Amino acid sequence: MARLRLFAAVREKAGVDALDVALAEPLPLRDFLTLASEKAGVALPVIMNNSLLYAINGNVRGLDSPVGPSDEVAVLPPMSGGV
Amino acid sequence: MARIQKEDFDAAVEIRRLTANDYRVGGIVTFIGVARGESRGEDIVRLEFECYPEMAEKELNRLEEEARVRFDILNCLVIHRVGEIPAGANIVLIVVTSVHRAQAFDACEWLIDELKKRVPIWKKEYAHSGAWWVEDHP
Repeated sequence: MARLRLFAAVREKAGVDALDVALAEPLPLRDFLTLASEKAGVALPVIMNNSLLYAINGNVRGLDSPVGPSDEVAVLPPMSGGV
Repeated sequence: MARIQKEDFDAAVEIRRLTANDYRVGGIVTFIGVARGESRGEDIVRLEFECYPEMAEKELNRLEEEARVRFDILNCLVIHRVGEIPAGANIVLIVVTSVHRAQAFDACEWLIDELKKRVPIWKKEYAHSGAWWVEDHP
């Protein structure tokens, strides 16, 4: 299972913090997000828009990057750690 | 070794640990970020920090490694708290040691600037009128 994880404002807007998605083969990240939004019943712009970054297995990646069947995708809103 | 933790830190203890038996140290620069009790003209009661734990600790460690390469310093340490933090309490500690002060000041400033841009930690401010996620980099 590929896993989608949501944080902070995006988690609250989506109403879900994680979602497992069965993939038969790798998909580009943008297609994975489309599939996940349909499965979660979340409007696509909530998890795919210009203010967001994405990480695959903990490394920031672009929307064309492949997502494999056991990868973890994280949706990262603008970061605001520190002070 | 960078840390993400719920509990408060003791800067004096961390400084002693970082400098123990290292007699090359000529300067120690520290930055402590504290929860401000005011934002957007409102009193802030508390903050909540959420993180992507697996990635945040990895990114903090990457930052420490990069700082050691980029600047002529001896050592550095970053600790960031998560969870609920009341106004006035500690959020983040950065300690940099060096032979001479200039590189330690530069490294410390670089570390906090990069942390804010690269480490997946998010801040929510709680005021009496409501709560909001902070999404800018003041």
